[in-house]
Parts: sequence; structure tokens; C-alpha cells
Amino acid sequence: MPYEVLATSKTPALIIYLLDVSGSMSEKLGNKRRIDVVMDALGVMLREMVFRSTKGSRVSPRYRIAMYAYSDHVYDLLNGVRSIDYVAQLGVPELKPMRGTDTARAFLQAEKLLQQELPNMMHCPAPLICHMTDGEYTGADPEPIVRRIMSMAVPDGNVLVENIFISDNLLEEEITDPHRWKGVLPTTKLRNKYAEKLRNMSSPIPESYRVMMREAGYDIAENAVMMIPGMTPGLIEMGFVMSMSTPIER
Amino acid sequence: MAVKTIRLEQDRDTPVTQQQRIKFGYRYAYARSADSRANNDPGQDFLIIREDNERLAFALCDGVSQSFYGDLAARLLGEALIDWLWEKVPTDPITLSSALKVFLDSIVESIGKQVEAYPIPANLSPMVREVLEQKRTLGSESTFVAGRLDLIHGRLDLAWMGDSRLRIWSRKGEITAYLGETFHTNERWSSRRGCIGSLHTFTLPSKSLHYLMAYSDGLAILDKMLSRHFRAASIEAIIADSLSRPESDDISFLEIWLGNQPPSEHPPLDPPREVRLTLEEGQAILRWRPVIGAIRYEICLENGPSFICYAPKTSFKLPLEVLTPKTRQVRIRAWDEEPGEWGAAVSLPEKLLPTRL
Repeated sequence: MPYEVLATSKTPALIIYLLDVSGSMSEKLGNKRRIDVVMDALGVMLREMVFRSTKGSRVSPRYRIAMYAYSDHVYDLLNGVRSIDYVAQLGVPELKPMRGTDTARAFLQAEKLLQQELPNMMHCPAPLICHMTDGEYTGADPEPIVRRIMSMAVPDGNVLVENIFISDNLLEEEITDPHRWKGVLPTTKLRNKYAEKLRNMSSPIPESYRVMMREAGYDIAENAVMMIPGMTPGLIEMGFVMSMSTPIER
Repeated sequence: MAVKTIRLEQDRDTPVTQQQRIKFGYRYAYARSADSRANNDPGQDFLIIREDNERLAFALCDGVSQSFYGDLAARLLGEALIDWLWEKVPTDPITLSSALKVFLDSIVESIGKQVEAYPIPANLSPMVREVLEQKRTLGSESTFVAGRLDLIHGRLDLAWMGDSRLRIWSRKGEITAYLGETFHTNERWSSRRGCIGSLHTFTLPSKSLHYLMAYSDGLAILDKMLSRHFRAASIEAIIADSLSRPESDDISFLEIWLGNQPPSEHPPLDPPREVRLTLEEGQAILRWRPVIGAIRYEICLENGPSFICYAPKTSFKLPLEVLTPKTRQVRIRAWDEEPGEWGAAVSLPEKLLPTRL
């Protein structure tokens, strides 16, 4: 069964975060800068990962994380792939808004990392890339690279790609409660061409992720894709919760 | 005979250990998950047994690892349950469930206070400490299966919440179906909320019982493979196999039987004979003579992984990429439901082994 391998200390889940820190991330979302909202959501997600990994006082290394911030360049925030017990010591890395949005460069970095990691991950859950952005790319088109990444696989399944698109005008419907929202479906009308492109660059949500999301209080539909319109801090948080929904032993 | 209480320590492993009395016998085992062993952490299961010549009570608790120190709830709940089972089981079985429910609610306050006071190590990072304090507010939780065999009154009372297993056999075969589909992962006892989900109970005349088994979900592998009383060596082998899996969890196991000797056991399958290793076009092929009754064969590399080969096949291509300089030998045994005897070990030729780790 695809996407059923449990994240354990012997078979950890690899999650790669690609975080857009372009200049526009200093714009406001509600009463906070977008970048601060993202850091808050990252904090919630890391705490939730630690929650799921803690047995007694020990944080079991069932998640491995790589985190890249990108603008015109790509910045490795954790200095390589780190396990959750290490990141728990470190806390949330600081993000600062910079300039452009070279999305392709960030995905290239992720592809390179996956090429190194996949041969050692044959018994592990399929890795996931969580890409968070607030605007269209300024460099090359990232889609061909994303397609290549989505065709990479381990026995558990193909590499998953999730996109969190921070924008306040993406959907025709208003999402009043993220916990009751069904997610972006293939037929959902999007108000933005780039959002449509990002939807095409997003994996269908695996059933096992949907079950984990339900346990976290989110009611995502069966045919939803792994794309979250980051219109509110609550939705951005939901996006990061989705990224860590690899099934685990309870 | 004086009352005897056996508490299996959570910080060490207990091999399969058997006790035989005049009217009943029992055996138990405890093993921490591979992770807990590697880090010298306590297991989150707790098993306690109390007995005299006529009665035996037990509580097998599986702490919820995502709650606040699940090992704590498992131990405190187990200790409370064993006292209640020994002293307070109502005479009328119809009131068993309601009386136990009242008891489980009544201990929330006292156990809750112990959870509140439980110290968190000072050397943890702020994020881990914050998460543990969050867990503390949600409480420490445990599932349980518990029971009392009372030969004076000819009764077996059972109670459970959660997905630890409880299986019962009469002289005619397994009768676990009497307990219904009532072993649910999300049911448990919480130091904050008391019973979460339904408490399940069942009473059976003790004369209807041949033997019963209780085990935590760390031994879930037994669900499909065990259909009868197994040899102790088989239980040990299955525990070892469970611990070698990535999802390895803490394990506790208890079996109780009526009578002055254990249920009859099937003899182990013969060892595979004429095991030989040949090199053919750069590949290492193991061959052996078939074992009567074998369903599958286990091929075990020294200091390395094991592989399964299903009968009637009697050859196996060794994956050379898993060999290390420490893999000097390979051996094979046949399985029916239980493991058979090991065949003679076969040495691997030096040229097959990598020179460095």
C-alpha cells in the first residue's frame, strides 16, 4: 500500500521545507508580517512534531528535516538534514525577508538532496517537499524540476510535493473555519494563474495523510491536492500540519 | 499459600517465565522496544500479577506514548487495578462493569495528583519542556486488560479498555469471539479524564476456560499467527522478531491456564538438512532438503538480517549487498505456526564478504 510506511526512529520520514523569503514576505497578513506568520506556524509544526515523537522525556528521531530559505539564493537553515530531536534543541530558525523569488533554484536544491538521500530510504516513508511561497517565481520555471521530483520514488510511494501559497485573494469562497474546509480540489476555482500552476505542482493527498489530518482536526476531502491557500495564519498552520502527516505508530 | 505479587520491572526485560501451581499455571514475559533498550528508557507497558492457591488477578497496562509519560499511567493504573481486583470484585457479575467504572473514575484525583507532581528532567530544551507541560495538562494515559480467576467461586472476570489483546480458549478451541469487536485503539484510561470510551467487561464460569492470553500491541504479530498455546521458545522467537521490526513497540505477555500442567505443545519441526551454499555466476545460492510440515523458512545471517522463503521453495539467493565482514555464517529453520529447530550453520566463503564495514 502506498504511503503506509510508519515514521519511526529506524525508518524516519524526510521532510524538506522550501521557504520563500522574498521581499514581499515583509508585507502584512492580518496584523503581522507574512514572514512572522510563517515563523509562528513553523513553531507550531515543530512543537507538534516533538509532541508526536516524545516518549517519556526523549524525542525519538522519527522525522528528519531539511529547511531551505530561498530568495535569489538558497540558504540552508539547518546545515543539512537534521533529525527532530536536534531541531527541538535548536528551536525555530530565524527568517529574514530578502529580494527575489528563484523558486526553480530552491527545487533544484531539493532534487539534489533527494538524489543523495533516496538510496538510503528504501524502507522509509516517501519523502515530502513542503514549499511555501507568496508570489510568482522570478527565475526559471520550476515546474519541470517539480515534475522530475514527483517522479522520484521509494517503495512507499513517489515523492510528495505540497505547496502553501500565501495570498489573500485565491479562492472565491471564504474559509471561515480551516477545520471544516475540504481543501483545494482539482475542480476548485482559483482566482490566480500562478495558483493554478501550483495546484498542478501539488500531489494528491494520500489517504494515510488524510487520516492523520482528520486526527489533527482537519476534514480534508478524499480527492484534495496538497495545496493550501495561505489566506490566514490558521490556514498556513494547517499547511505545515499537512506536511508532517506521515503515519506514525500511536 | 501466602499471597504473592509479581511486578515486572519497566526498566528491564523479563524472558518467558513460567509458574505452575496445583490448580493453575501461568507464564509471562516483558520486553522493551528496540528504541527504549537502545536509550535505556523504561518500557511503557506494565504487567502485574497477584495470586494464591485459589485466585489469580492480573493487570496488563500499555501506556500511551503520546500522553504524559505513558509508563507512569500504566504503572499507577496497574497497581490500582490489581488491588481492586483482589479485594473488591462484586459478588454479582452483573454489577462488575458499573462497580469498576466507579472505581476507575474515583482514582482520577489521586493518580492525577501524582501526575501533576511528576518531575520533568531539568536538562531538556525549552521546546521539549513546553511540549511535556502541554502533555501534562492532557494527562497520562494507558490502555489495560485485566482480570481475576477465582477458583473458589468458579469465575473468571475480565475487563479491558483499548487495543491490548485478550484471547480465551475453551477445551474445544478459541472462544475469543465471545468478547466481541471491543478492542479499540482510541479507548483508554486517562489521569485527567478517567475512562475515555467504553469500559468492557466479561464474566465466564472458570470451568469453561482452558487457557487465556493477554498481550500488548507490541506483539500484534501474534494476532494472525497464534491459534493455540505455543512453546516458550516460540514466544521468545516471536518477541525477538517483533523487536527487530522498525515499528517495534514495548511488549508484555501473559498466559494463564487451568490445571496442574501447561496445555499440550506441538513438537518443533525438524531442522533443515543438507544445507549447502553454492556460488553460481557470482551469486550465492542456499539449498536445503524440504522439512515436512514447513510453511516457510527463515534464513538468518549472523550479525545481519533474516529473510523469509515460502515453502515449497527450498533455495534462496543471498543478497550480497547486506553481507558485512561480521557475517560469517548463515542458518535456516522451518516454521509452521511456530519456529522449528535451527539447521546446522553454514560458513560463508571469505571471498563473498566485504573487507571493510
